[in-house]
Amino acid sequence: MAIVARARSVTRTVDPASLARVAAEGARRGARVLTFFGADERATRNELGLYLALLAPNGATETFRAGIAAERPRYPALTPTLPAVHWDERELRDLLGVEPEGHPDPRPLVLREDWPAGLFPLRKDFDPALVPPAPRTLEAFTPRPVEGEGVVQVPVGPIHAGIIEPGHFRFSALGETIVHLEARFFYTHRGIEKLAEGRTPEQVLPLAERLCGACSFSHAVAFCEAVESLAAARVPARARWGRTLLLELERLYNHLGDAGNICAGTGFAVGAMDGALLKERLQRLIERLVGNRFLRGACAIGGLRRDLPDEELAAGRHELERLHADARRYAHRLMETDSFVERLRGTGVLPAETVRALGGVGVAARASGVDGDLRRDRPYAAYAMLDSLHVPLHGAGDVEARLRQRLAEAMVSFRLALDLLQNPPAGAIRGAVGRLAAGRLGLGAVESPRGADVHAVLCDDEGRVTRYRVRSASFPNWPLVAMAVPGNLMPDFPLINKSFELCYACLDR
Amino acid sequence: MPHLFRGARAMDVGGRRYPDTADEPPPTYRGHPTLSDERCRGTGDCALACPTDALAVARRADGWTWKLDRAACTGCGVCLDACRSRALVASPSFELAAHSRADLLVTVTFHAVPERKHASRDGRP
Repeated sequence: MAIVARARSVTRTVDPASLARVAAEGARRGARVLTFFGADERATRNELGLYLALLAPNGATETFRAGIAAERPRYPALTPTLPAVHWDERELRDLLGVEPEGHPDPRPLVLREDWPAGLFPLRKDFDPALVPPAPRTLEAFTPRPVEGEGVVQVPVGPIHAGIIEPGHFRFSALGETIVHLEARFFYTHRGIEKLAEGRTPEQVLPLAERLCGACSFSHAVAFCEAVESLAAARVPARARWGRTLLLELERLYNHLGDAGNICAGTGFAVGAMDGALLKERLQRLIERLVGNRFLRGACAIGGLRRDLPDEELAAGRHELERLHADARRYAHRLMETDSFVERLRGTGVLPAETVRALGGVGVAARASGVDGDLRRDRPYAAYAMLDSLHVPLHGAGDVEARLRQRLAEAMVSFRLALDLLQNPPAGAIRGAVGRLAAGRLGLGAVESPRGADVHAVLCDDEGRVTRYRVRSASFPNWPLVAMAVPGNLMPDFPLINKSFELCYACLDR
Repeated sequence: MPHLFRGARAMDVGGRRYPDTADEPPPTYRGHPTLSDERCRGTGDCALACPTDALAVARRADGWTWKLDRAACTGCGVCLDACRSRALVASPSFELAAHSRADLLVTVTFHAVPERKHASRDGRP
């Protein structure tokens, strides 16, 4: 297995006024947004920095930096020409105090209405010891009003009956039909990006692994790849192979568990239980390989923390073959249950144009016919070497398509994992990591079970993190949920929501 | 309907009575670190490496104290790799609940007597 080293991308410097032009030009060429964020660089460059990373259709990563004078922190917004960054720009305004002029939505995204004006948590002079005023003022959230005779507002959450994470959903309904949905998140904001500042990458890795409630390993690999891109790191072939295998196992337990969750959304108990069983068996297999059901502590900067034991790999392969057969039967049983499939068909339709405009990623995008998968489009770990990587594409954009998309992808993942288990390369599991380049943009992008997780890292000349930004798949995809809901019945919302199965924790951070 | 149940038995993940028949964790499982008294040299490498500051080593004139806060330990195992004298091993215990915060603190005190060391221990290992 050869080692493919990605050519170091050169960040182009542009002035803030032409950033919008660069973004518009990228959108016209069909480039996808990898990330867009700002950093307080007053100490080193005497300005605030804006970073935009695009993935061009030819697979090239294009990165741009624009400096903004701290005395006049504003720039022409990108959203009017590149709507995919609409939340990135609102987050930038809330947390770094940079105003995207001409942004169509002036409301705060991350902060609450009672947050003191002029206090920006991602500025370096922010005092993390400050606590919000208590008692907090009552919710002053103003959803876009929908008016008309018989239109009622139904607030749901942020605290829910089950053990799901917090989010507030405000439905405007006409009878049982949802006319409009506004969702509000960031109730589990833990300040992880701020916590990372001043720490070494080794100290940040455990935080990266705990960002997400569902895809620990994808985030760990994305963070490690970002750091490795800043150093002359050579990740050995066995480590790349191991990362790829474990990433596919993480995809499998998520996809099959999520298929079960869709069943639960319709009250189809047998399908829900069988999905949970498959997930449980996969997590036990994962625990035998790396010692942790969520793959925590498995990834290391430069490779893997520990080697995968040969006897466990052999046993794992046998169990994976059995799981493959059981999962295939499970998929057939679900799709031949007409009463179940009829409930999914035509429910929560997400049009392809909406996905493209808002930069949707992952299963949700592909189920609407929008092709994109970082494993193929921007290969990492050992994906460039895999012949059996094939990306299915369903097009209907409804709940049924999202379920079929997951099941089809799971079958591909079984094949990939079994192929990988046939040819484990020998050798070291960890390579030397050189000095980290200061002030350069380090990027790691991984196709998690939910879509693109993009980690950006900036370091100082002592190798400490000065800015860490995580744009998980849930970030561009949560706004899509709200777009798929209008026109559906209230009781279908939980089902539609489960068909996206997004994470709150890695969105909020 | 019968087709729904076809093959369900093959999935064979049955319930078992816990704790009478608790599964053993796999050999790869990595719980909280436990300290081998004979090997510890009190260098503090483990505490320096710990990403969550769960470990602390305090040196005194006549020895040192090794402290683990199991409430802060995530079982990542970084300390195991950092220890030059290989004094730490990952515990296979997965039953980590405690009744109080104090029960989660492990303290091992070392008295450096010439040619011999005595360790005294409180808290659960």
